[in-house]
Amino acid sequence: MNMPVLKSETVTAEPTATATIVALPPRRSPLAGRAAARLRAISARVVPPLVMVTLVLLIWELLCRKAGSTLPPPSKVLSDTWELIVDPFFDRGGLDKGLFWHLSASLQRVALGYALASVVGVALGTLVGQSIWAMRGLDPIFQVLRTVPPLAWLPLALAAFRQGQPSAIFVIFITAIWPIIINTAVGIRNIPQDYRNVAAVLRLNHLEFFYKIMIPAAAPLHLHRPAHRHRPVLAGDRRSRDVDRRRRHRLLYLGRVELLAHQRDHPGAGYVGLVGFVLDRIVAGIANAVTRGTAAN
Amino acid sequence: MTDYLKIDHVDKSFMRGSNETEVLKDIVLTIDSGEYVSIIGHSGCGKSTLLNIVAGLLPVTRGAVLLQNQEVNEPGPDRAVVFQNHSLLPWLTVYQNVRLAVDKVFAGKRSRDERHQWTMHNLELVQMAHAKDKRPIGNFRRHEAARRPCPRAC
Repeated sequence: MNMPVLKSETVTAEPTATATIVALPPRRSPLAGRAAARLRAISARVVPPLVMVTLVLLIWELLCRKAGSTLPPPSKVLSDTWELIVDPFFDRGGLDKGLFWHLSASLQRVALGYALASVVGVALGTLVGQSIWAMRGLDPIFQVLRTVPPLAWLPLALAAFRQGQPSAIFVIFITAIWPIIINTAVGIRNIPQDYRNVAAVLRLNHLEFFYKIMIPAAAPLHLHRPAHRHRPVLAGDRRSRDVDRRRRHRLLYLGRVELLAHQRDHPGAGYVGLVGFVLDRIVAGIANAVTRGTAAN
Repeated sequence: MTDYLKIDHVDKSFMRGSNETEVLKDIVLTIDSGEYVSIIGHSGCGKSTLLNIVAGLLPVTRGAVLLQNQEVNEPGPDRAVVFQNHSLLPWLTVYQNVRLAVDKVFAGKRSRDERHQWTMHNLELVQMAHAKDKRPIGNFRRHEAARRPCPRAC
């Protein structure tokens, strides 16, 4: 507290240097600056995939361009299937429909099968995650059934349901359910003891525990890597649809027709891929909403 | 005067497979109301185990914990625990974390408005009212965690 007194005795020199005014460059208008930053952020996300896609197409083109190659180059696929790509909405009756209709039928089946799988899968996953007894009892069964390829379920489903539509939905259901069960169980088993203690001290009941702790705490794992789940589901549906179609039109699937059908599948694959990508983003968005931002990708 | 908190010949051992590890043996401690007690010891000597038993998070192997002559055998909001980790729920805001406890303790006893007032009052006590809509991060978490267990005085 005595410092100021001492200081006033020692400070004698007058400040000699005068301040010079440095003219700073005028700031860019905030609006333009923000727009530029936004643009840069977007291009940082868009440019890398564009570059890579171009590169892959280029390699494909180069590999398949020479005569006698087994697969057509992308340019030929594009020109051959252009009418299918540009007009996905045509409907000439029967199965001769635009890709939009095929995809929408596919997506309806996926939505139904996936919704069923989510309900059953989350219920079973919760059971297995909470009870060690259930885990020990059910886990071996899950592990064995999980490895059965989706296509192998199809004859079983067809035998059971005797119709294409429910069988396809069943195959989607059975493909989607294993990762849901496993991710749910792992997510619940990994709820930190801290959060369980909080719930215990506050005496949250089972329902409150489920909504307030379990879902937000387990959701990051739950909805983790959605790509791993949707892609096989869509692929599974495509496969089941193809087999379904093949069963009905077995005779048509011969020779040239088969080849044509094969080529027609290229744009189909492209569309399916795009839809898968969109679904991926949607699920990531849901994960973000459920965990209220704590599951930052 | 009866003892407020009485830890009566408490033993605690943990079973891991067929191995039994004895952590606490014959702990006797009585604490009066308003008394401050520090439990000091080296790492792993059972301080947290004892506190968890008082909190009701762990069952005793032998003996009993009595709070105002009532045996403690389950956790409850009447005993405040500030955990070693902040234990805040990161998907709730600062306000929601405190409000969760306030709602559980005063459900049906105070009106919605009173519970809001009480939550804000407690946040102001730790100078966290300004951050009520933020998510708990870093050092602030401990301050706020201290507010959540609702002290008996409330």
